[in-house]
Amino acid sequence: MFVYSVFLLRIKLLHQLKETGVSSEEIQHHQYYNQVVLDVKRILKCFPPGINENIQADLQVKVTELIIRVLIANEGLHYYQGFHDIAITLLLVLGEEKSYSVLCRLSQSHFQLFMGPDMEPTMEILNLVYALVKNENRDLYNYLIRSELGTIFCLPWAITWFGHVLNDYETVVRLFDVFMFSHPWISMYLSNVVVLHRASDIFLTPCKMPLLHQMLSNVPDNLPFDSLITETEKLMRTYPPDVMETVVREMHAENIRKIKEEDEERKRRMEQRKAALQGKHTKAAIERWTPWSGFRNLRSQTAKVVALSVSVATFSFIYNYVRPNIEIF
Amino acid sequence: MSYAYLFKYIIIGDTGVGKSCLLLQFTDKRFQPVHDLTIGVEFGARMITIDGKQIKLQIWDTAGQEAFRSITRSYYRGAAGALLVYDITRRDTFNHLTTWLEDARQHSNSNMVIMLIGNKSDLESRREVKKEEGEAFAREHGLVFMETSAKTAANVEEAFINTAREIYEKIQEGVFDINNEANGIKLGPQHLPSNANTPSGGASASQGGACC
Repeated sequence: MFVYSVFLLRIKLLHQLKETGVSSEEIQHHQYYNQVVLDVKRILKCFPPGINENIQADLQVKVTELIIRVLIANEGLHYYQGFHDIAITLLLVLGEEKSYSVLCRLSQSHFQLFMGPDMEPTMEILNLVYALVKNENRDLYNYLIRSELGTIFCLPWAITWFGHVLNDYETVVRLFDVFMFSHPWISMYLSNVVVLHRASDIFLTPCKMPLLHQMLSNVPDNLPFDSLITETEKLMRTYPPDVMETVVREMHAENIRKIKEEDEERKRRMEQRKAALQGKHTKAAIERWTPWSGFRNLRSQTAKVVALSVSVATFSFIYNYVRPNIEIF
Repeated sequence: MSYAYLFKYIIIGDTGVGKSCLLLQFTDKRFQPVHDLTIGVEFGARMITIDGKQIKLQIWDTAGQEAFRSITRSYYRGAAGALLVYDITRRDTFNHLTTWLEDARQHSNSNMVIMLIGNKSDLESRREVKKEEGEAFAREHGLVFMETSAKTAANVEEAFINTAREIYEKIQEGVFDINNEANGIKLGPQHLPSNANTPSGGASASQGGACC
């Protein structure tokens, strides 16, 4: 069933592309074509509730086309999972052609940061959340740092403009309206405001990374987003992006340095443990092959030296005096 | 709830192979035909019993797309076990195993137990990767192998529990330093470190209180 519907989706898509003037070969050979087709099949959650099944299938075809066209027009930008959440929201509001122009434009400005070969640059800027919490609520900052929560919990918030995490379509569209006309980092500023707003929930959660990650990952749909947006704008004026950039980059460099240090410490401990285990094995092997077990039990150093001297003397005596008299040697 | 040990797991593999569905089946005993995409990482936990001891599994489910690889790598570090998943109906997901394995070995602690999983075993008619191929790959790379179905729950319990059993055996052999949480193993709140011959230094594993 799944394969069949993906197949139908592709056929429909190729048929439509002929009409829009984009070569189907160009589309089919695009490095992200298969990925986008698969991902688009999974975005049912993003569709408004109660939407007709046929319309849904049609939208799936259109959003795939939209994404590939934008990628073709912006060579060098990479598709990431979550970009399709953005595309579907724009398509639903603006229709095919307008959404294409807007998504193209936004990919060059707002989404460019997320569309590199990997998410490393995004992770660097996500430190903004911590930099701002540190300025606004020091206790909360200390709590989050102590829990080793990291920033990955708000990655989907930032790169999908909350489209992946909120179920309420009206709220998502409202946020898109604001984000589109603001600085590209606004989704990260809002992420910070959401964290600050949920401070009391955070303090009620044990200071453990998994628990906090899980709690924060579930963004309630009923947050007062209008007032949070006002807060976000205020915060952007107090701590403008160009001022915060240096702080954020320094934080990231510090994080990388810490990770490297921890890695080295971990490797050192593992080597130490390996050596300790090997030592244990060697000792066991020596014990297994020591001919006179009583020798092993001699505790004092002097006793060992005496025992060794006696052994050597006995052997020398046998070798020099007994051996010449015995034919067998 | 009290536990003797906590083991950290990571689930890795290409996008769409059923990583999140395996986790959901294991933690909630249910199947979601179209699971929402994982962006970044998600988390699940469940208690199991091995050798009469309660063991808490803390499982990190990661995004499969290449773009997120640099982020999810940091989760390898603190993991004691990994489920490396491919889809038996998609040959490309099997072909990418070597890259995943190299990545896991490079960024994890060398004792991490890796279980190779061929998922979607219920879709026999669409099979593209033979069971023998999975077995051969596992043998060649020293992994444990299993075919599972997150849909029918076949072998799902076994996959998670057998991995835990391997880790548990390694602890008994003294291979894992249980006093170092960076290995993905933590002693339960009531179980103070008793292993005197473990190398000293570093954080104590027992901190008490609720833990996830």
